[in-house]
Amino acid sequence: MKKHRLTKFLIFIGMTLSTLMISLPGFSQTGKITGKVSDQADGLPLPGVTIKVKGTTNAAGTNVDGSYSINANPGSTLIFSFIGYEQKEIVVPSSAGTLNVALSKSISNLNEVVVIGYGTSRRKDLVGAVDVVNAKDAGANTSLSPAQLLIGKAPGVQVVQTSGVPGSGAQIIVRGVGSFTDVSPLYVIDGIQGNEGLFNQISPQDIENITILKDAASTAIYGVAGANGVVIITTKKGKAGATQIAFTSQVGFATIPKKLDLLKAADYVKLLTDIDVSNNNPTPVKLTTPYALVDRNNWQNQIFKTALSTQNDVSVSGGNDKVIYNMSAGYVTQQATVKDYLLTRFTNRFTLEEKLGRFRFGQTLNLRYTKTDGLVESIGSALQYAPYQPIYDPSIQGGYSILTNIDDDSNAVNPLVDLGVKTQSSHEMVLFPQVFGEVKIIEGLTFRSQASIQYGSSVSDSYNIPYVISNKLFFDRQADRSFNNYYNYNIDNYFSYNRSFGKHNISLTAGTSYIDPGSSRFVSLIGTGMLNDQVKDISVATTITAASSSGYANGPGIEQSYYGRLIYSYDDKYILSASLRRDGSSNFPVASRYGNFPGAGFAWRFSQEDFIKAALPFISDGKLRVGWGRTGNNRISLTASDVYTFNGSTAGNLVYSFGRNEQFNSGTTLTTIGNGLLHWETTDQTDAGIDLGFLNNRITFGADYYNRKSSGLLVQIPVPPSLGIGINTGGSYQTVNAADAQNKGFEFQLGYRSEVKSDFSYNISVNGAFNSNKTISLGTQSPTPIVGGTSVAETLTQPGSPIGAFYGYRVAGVARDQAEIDALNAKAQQKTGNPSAVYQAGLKPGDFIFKDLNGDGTVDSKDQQVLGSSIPKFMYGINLGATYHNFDLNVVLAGVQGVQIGNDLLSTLDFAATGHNASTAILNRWEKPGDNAALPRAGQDDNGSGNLRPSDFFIQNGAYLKARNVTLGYTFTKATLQSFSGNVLSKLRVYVAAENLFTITGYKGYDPEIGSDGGDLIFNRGIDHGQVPQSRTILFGIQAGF
Amino acid sequence: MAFSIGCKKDLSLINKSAYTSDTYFASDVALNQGVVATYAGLLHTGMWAREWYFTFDLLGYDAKNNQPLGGDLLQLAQYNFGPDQNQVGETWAALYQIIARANVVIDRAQVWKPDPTKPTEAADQIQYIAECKFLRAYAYFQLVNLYGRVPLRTSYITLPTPADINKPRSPVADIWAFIEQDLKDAEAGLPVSYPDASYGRATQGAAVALLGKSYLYEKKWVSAQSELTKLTQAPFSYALAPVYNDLFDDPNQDDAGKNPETIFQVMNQKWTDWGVGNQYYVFGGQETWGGKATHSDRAQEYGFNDWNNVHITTTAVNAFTYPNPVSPNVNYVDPRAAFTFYGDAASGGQTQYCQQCSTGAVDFPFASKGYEWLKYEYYNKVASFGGPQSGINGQVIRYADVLLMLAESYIQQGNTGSQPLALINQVRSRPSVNAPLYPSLGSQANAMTILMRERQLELTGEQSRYFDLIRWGIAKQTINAEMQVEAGTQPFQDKNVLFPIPLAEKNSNSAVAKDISGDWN
Repeated sequence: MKKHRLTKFLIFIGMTLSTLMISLPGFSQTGKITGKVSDQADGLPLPGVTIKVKGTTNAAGTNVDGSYSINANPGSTLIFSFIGYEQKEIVVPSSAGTLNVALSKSISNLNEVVVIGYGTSRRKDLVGAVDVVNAKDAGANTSLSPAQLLIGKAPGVQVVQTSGVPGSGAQIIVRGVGSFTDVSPLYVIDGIQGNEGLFNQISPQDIENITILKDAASTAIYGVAGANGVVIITTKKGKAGATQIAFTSQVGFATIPKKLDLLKAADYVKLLTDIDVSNNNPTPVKLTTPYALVDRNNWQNQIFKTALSTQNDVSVSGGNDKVIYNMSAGYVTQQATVKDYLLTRFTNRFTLEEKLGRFRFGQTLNLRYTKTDGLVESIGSALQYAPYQPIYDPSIQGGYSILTNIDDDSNAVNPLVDLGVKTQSSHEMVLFPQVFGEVKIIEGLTFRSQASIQYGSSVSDSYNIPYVISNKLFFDRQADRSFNNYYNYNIDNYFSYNRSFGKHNISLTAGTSYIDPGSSRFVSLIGTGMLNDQVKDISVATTITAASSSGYANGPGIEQSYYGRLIYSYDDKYILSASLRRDGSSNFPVASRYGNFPGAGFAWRFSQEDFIKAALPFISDGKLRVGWGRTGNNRISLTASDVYTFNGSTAGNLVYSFGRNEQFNSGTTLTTIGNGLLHWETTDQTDAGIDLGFLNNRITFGADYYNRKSSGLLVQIPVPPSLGIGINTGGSYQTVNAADAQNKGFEFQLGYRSEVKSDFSYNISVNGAFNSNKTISLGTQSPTPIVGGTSVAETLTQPGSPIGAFYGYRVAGVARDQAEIDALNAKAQQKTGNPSAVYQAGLKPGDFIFKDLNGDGTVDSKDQQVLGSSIPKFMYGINLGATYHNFDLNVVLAGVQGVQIGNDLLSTLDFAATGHNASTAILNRWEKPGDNAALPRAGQDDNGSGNLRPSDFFIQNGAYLKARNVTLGYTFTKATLQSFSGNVLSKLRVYVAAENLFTITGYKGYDPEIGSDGGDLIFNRGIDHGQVPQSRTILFGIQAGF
Repeated sequence: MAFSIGCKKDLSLINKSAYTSDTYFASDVALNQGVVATYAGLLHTGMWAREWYFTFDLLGYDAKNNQPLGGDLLQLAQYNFGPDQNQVGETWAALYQIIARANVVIDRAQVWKPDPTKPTEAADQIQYIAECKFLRAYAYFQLVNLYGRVPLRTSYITLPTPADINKPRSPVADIWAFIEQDLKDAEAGLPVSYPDASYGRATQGAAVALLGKSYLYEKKWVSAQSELTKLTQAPFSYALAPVYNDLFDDPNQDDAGKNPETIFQVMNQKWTDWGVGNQYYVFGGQETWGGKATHSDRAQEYGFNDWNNVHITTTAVNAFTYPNPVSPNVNYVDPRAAFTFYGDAASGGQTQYCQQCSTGAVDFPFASKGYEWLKYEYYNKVASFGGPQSGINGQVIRYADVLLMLAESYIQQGNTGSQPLALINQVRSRPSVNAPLYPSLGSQANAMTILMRERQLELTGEQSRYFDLIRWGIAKQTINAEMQVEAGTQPFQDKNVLFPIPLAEKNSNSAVAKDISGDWN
């Protein structure tokens, strides 16, 4: 049945194509034109320029020295086009012969070729909201990761760093949160689907540009994977011509921009004594001695350090009209700003492209080797460990000082212990080959087949010597090793047909795509029984057992897709684009595996209309766009619709002991439920936009409105613990198509580019995006709101408020004394008519009084409300570029507004339920009746019903403006270069750059840019647990061309 | 060419990480694994590896917080908790996990066809179902006592509907009826005893004891009396362990000769080494990062030379000193004090430890430590444990408890004669205890006073008193009076007779959410 439909579809496409082919008229050309094309600025020849006879398919290209030859009728028009240059049209003079042309670098990018799904398009033909970020403009030289290139560059595109730890990735969020399972966009690398992991590890030096498809008319061609936008990475290709060698080298110094103010020993001891008093406990003797009053260490200074990073890249490229090549190698070393972790990464990339008559082939091999050494110490421990403690204590096994509840009233962990007792390292090798073959079947019709494989394997090792940590927890000598090996591949086959006839321009695409999930196999081992620490490796262990994980997984599931697209434009004025994709995914039950995803867009370049030209001559370009599309999301676990057995999460760990001699017996049970009703999550998006250019496109403006409605959102909702599923008490979830959500927004971009002059030129652009996120319904399967976050920064997802909105009580103040409480209780009794009513259960002097928001006289769970959202309402970026003689300056500012942070760190910094160090703010706590205190008493409850219930105290304004990148460069003139290097150096630039130079924010924590830190970006977003903050980095670099 | 590859693929994938649920439980071995997994639930967070004894020793005021106790456990000690209290949610979840796992076995074993050529299989089928019904009843018994009306889940549904998931609370009477039926079925299907290798599995005696206890809790005195009486007769041969401490000694408690008393216990195996399991699995590593581990951390957590998180309450200590049954004008110190706590000579507590250490006995430092726990500790063998590794099994129901419950069932019917008197005196006359016998029980009120004290003394630190005080309806007055003396607080409120419905259930079960009054229950 399905196959039958596919066959029909393909026959239809084939017939359409052949009809078009037959109906196309042929043209004849006479007269040979030859000439040279050069760059207007420096006069150098331009190889690779396309020369086309207007209205025909007759085309030619320039070769290495910029020369070309084409047959054309006198009077016909030749179009010279080249990426990055203004397109030029020249009428062939009556006498055939030589025609030399100089192209100028483009200001407007209307003729720029933009990569779209399964093909390319001229920018002016786009019907959707598409942003292109050129690596060159984005400060690629200083970035250590590709996501950094996008920060502040494209409206509505947010980059959330995982954390400040080297090598950790970043997630891109396009147009707000539109999913409950996964908000990451689809990553396409050189036309082939990749993933976030591959994207994050590409060397920024290898990137030519990044295109972001935001609207559904553009992304619908990716159907299943397009709901969260599409990020297309185009890597650098070789250019025909003499071999070019480029070398870049930089060194950077990163620091944590901020430290928190913590208590000194004397205040620390007073705090712990107060906790004992609160809990009616004696104070340990040690805390009453002078020993405890001495400040021995500032633990933040102990764990933070200035981190060194180096980056060296070399690339060699060149080729001729048959073969072009590009080889690059990069070597990065990066330390963490928190002791002690070093990332070393080597990337290597070979690209070859061959043209053989009507065939074109390409091979790319990406190779990546990553090594990490050491571990990142816990910032949380540094904030909590006693200031009177020394680092070392030879009497403790392992050699590091410890605390115990009995002696010290605290069991905080020595922040440096792991450094001393553990060694860790990991090695990962990833191969990512991509190949394609293209054949021109007939004029305009191309068949392309492309495939890529991702193959990776990693080994991690760790070893710890025997050691004891706080509360005398003992850990014996242990060696671990884990292996992971995975692969997956995908294949695309598609036809493209591009043809112009008269004023009609048509572009057709049709094909299939197959993604094979491959497999991921992993096992980790624990080795014990070593007698000493002379060899720190599992190989010397006498007992080896399977450890925390082992298993087998299928990657994303099988995806089988068919798609087609038509782009039709008339007279460069009216552009229509329509696409349809049919996707099948193994992640769903058999009955609902297939989904259809259509998209359509229309654009009107009104500036081409004569009446507009006459009426509004200052408009150099103007386009109105509208589009609609439907995309899907299938990113759920394969097992969501089935139930599997469980015998321990390392197989065999589920045991119970029987027998008079007590032996382990193995158990197996079920710990999940399935959902046989799962189906596709769909997102319908409408987009309307306008693009304007003024003063010959020196000023450009673009704006978009979008309405993105997602329905049947796949979400892991918590199910009642009474269902008895889940492991131990780790929470139990079921994947359901539960919710509907909406993102509405407005985006704009305004740019100005001065004339390109040799002494001074500049450009400035500003972009901004407003987004409003709302949960519309939670569906029938999940009628109760979804709770996430932490106990103090709780999030609630419910109809009418943003996804993952902070939710809780509001603090009225700290109760001064019993009289104040008695007065509240009296009022409560009066209001409720209940003589034993209390205003707030458990309230004592020195506790937070919460507001009775519903006015019923008492404080209970109904007195909670939405306190904010971690999804920014407004994001903006400001980019400045300037050149003055040999100097160049690039500034990127980026910020967010209308965003809240759940500051979970405050629950230990500003409160002391148990003994640990705290911030100096806690000096303003309540200590005795009558105190008008900012913070509650020490020693109040640890969770839930007391001062540490979720409240607005923990929800803080997270708005910030950051200077992402400031780069100042100096380029040596050709004359200078020649004077000291002869002809060896063709280019030399030195620069100094600062990343995160300053942050303007009211947020009191380390960094308002909260990393995701392994948590999801949906129900647990924007919560500060003490993730490693983004560092301030000063970089010095050199770029040379040979 | 490659095009054809794109069209032929089947969209079905095989998960190689686990077996599918609908085919796995179709053999004797697999069903036995299902039963073992159900027992394993007894060690989950919220249950007997850790939280169970903290929760009920603290709430029943057998134990009180010492200075190292912090966090959520301190809130329990202070009776300062709400629906989000960790242990309140963990115990709920763990009990329902036992129920779900029991349901897996009960559902699948009933459709399983034993191999007729293997006669043991048919017997196993009956036994597995009966074991799981016992465990399911055990879980509902705790749920109904702690939380009152709770959702009644009677089968494992692999593809549940929203209505199945959002199950409302059932009336208390329905829960009790379900418990009774499960226990009757278990009684009929369980063997009286097992071969040595299977020791620790639920026996017929366990089902009888729990059914009798259920009747007692339901105040069905006649049924309780007749059910519990069965345990005093053939085929059962329960008797009091001659040495009281053998009940709390690893390995003596597994020795049939030394301990004929245990009816059902949670099996804790001593932790041996890191290659096998994680010493700290009790902090949530069960079945996952904890490796293979089934020990208890009670010795470590309570132990005065280890983490020392709690003291035995002075109230509990003082209870061991009471009017001598034979000469009421003189106070008598019960010998069980020395098996229960460390203290000074006057209190009757044990004054030495390390009796079996190579270094010889050490005097207990009462002046600096105060009263400390002895029951479930093994300081008689080592000076310090160093980490959680105790193999001492948790006593769930033992014969002394049954004798006292049987005595109570008589007294509650107004019978204070020779039958209850003999039962109480039988417990007191355990060879290692040999407390003076009561000549008579007196009035019903007097008999209850004696019985209550006897239960307290015999079962201190065995998570019995909290449940007893609640069912006797004297929890508020008793706890508040005791805590007023020792802690200066009277924290027990009327609502505390039931636990709050856990926040996690309320947040995910809409039927329960709308059936809770006052944010509590």
